[in-house]
Amino acid sequence: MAPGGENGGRMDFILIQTLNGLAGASSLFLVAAGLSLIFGVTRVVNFAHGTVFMIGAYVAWTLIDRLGVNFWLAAPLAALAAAALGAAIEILVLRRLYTGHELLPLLATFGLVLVAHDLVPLIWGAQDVIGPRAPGLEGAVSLMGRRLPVYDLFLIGFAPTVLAGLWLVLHRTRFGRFVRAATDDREMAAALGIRQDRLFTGVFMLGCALAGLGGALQLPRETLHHSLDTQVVVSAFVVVVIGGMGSLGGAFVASAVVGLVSAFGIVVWPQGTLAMLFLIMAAVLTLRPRGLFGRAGAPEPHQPLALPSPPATGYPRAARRLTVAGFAAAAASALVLSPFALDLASQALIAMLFAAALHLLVGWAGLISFGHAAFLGLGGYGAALALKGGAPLPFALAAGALAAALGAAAFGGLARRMRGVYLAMLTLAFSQLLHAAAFQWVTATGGDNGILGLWPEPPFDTPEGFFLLVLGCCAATFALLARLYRAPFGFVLRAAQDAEARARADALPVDGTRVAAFAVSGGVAGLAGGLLVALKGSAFPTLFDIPQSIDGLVMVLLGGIAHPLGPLIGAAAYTLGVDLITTVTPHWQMIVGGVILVLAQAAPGGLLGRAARGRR
Amino acid sequence: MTALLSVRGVRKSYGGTPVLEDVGFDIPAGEIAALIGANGAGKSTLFSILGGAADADGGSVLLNGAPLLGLRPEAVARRGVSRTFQTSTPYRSLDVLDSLRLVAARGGGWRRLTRPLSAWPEAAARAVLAEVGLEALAEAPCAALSYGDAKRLELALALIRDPTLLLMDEPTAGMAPAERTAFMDLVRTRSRERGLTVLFTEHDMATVFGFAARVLVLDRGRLIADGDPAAVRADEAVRRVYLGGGGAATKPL
Repeated sequence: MAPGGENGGRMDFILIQTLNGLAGASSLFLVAAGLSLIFGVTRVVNFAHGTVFMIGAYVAWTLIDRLGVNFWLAAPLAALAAAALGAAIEILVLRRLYTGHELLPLLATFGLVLVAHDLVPLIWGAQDVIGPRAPGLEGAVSLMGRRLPVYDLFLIGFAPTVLAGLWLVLHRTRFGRFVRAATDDREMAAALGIRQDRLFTGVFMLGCALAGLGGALQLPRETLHHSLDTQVVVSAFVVVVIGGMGSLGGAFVASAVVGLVSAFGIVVWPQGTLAMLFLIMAAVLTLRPRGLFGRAGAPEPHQPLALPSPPATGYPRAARRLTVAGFAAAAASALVLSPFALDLASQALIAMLFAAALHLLVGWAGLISFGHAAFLGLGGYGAALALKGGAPLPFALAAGALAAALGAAAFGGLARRMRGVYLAMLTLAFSQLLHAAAFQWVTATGGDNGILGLWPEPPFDTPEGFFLLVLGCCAATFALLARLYRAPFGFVLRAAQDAEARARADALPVDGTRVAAFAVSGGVAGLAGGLLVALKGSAFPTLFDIPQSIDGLVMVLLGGIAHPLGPLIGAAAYTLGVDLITTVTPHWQMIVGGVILVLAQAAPGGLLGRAARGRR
Repeated sequence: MTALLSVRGVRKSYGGTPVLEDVGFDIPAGEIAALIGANGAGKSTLFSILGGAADADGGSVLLNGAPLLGLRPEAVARRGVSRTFQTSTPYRSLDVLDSLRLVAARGGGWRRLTRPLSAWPEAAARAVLAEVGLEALAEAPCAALSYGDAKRLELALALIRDPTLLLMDEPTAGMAPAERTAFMDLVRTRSRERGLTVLFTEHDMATVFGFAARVLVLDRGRLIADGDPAAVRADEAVRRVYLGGGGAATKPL
């Protein structure tokens, strides 16, 4: 205890953790400001922003440790390298994607994340790297009997300096005026003759330079490792959403909030810190759907840059026949396939269920979910608990699906005012909260150890029996979805996506139908989760993981969001493709990422994109 | 005659700037009334309030004596108010007949989830298409319609729920003069046959004075004139702030 006694001890703890949190907030602000600027102007959610941060840090480390460059020179050089990377990303990867579906750039930047995941350890090694001290600021000052690194004080002062600098750039330069004009009204900016290609490249360079600088400046504070990217980008998303997309002041305040919550959380309740951040984000979004400083009508794309593309029609007759024939063939194949192949086929079918569930929301209703694993996990744990309690598998699956449907309906009801990126982030928050719950509620879920030994009873205990059960679930689900899409339910979703204000003025039940869409989508995802648990024989908190949700989006976009059968083809291709690649090379992420990048350029509408266009 | 639509003391301000101040008027059943005013006079805000898309800060709006303020757009629509929009965006991914059928498909409970839209009644949709002269385009995708046809589809969508009040926001913006007259003729005929009350905003004075039996003039959030076209045209205040005092717009139209 500090010499000041109980009270003094608490006071200095609060002071030190506050300063600690604000220092941590500094580089987070740099990353978030870049992300926010890029989103404001281009409407691209740059998933690779954490990757740029990480690469900036590695570049600075190489310069210092290998080439002997001074830290204070290495940091701006890393920012320059990151700016060049940003220009490359914008010109080579994103430029041709702006006219496609609004999720396409997200998919492409996710491809970059995957590639970097494998590439960064190859270049810089897989082991943790300890950063150098900052020359001149190695010391510490004494505050109320505790020591605080001088470098932390520098960082605390640095963030407001950057904010002021950015403000000057945005308000006192020609480039800044263009950025603000495009953030407020892109069409008007284009009409006034602002060159979009140069502006977008410039904003990407600025945004990525900030991220790279943030990475370099974090070196003296934090160990560097190759999985920093996702952690950083998720925190930056939280900051940007709390502050309001496109608002730098908002990013500043929110990064301070996030930094402080993290600093105190790590001491008070380490495992719950992330959940707490998401809880704060959910609370802010519920009260202020556009974040603390988000302006109504501004950055949220009320006139999306990219046209949303609901499927043009219900399942066409030919597609229905083909699907029925496919199911008959699949059922017959159970007699001849090896157990290994049957297992893989079951996995692919479960992925199809999950992708179809996500497609209902993202494709038909135009409601973007980054956290659909929430419902996969709810269904998985629901089924697992029922199986543990001795229920037969079909009942357990039904229980899981029902739990997920109820959870999704409740979520859809609460989030009914939310659209676009904000809704996407709220779904992400929801899945992270459930992840934390599964992790923490050890008595029910077993926590990190999961629930084990969930083996199905006969006749589902053989690969053939289980495969036929999965096939039956898929057939029933797809038949149900096909009916829903041809009924007013599906048409209301499409009409509301096409023209929401008109749909409401035409008295279409937009809100009720969307909540129902959440419930159905959640139920189907929950069924997939239950089947997955039965297939693996266990349930772990990883069911709720962010990559699960992203995989679903990749499948939907890979197959073609505008085609009713897109998610099915995409899920099958993705599952089988990843399985094939993992047998050949351990660097499967690089291959999958590369394929995603190529496909985004070559077939922006997905594998069935051409077919979907033909039917319009 | 009792008023179909009765607006009293409607106020609205955005961030301290008043947009509407104490606006009040009555529109009797079956009348075609025009709401005019310069850009920024508050027309669109008033329309948003009448349609339930925005909240008023105060005042009351009664439709056949029943209050409308505070209702969501869907609820306002269910009480018999239809509206068309300034930017004509019909349901891009649907075809003409499906979009009308969808709007006409009321109730049905659980069957809304399972019964194909193609099995819902289509007589009403066909009838309203005939009313606006779009029978030949029933199977066309909405996205493929010409501007004028899209406006007609919008009118059909508004009429199919058999409203008592039709709000039209700049119905003829972007049309050629001949097209304007044809379209407003269509609106007038539909109004007469259905006993439908119409309130529309418009910038084209020929359309306003040619088709409205009643003209309301908004100026910076205040209603400065309300009466028959001849009286409004002669009104000094209107001439001064809006018609430009002796300018081209005041010539016989």
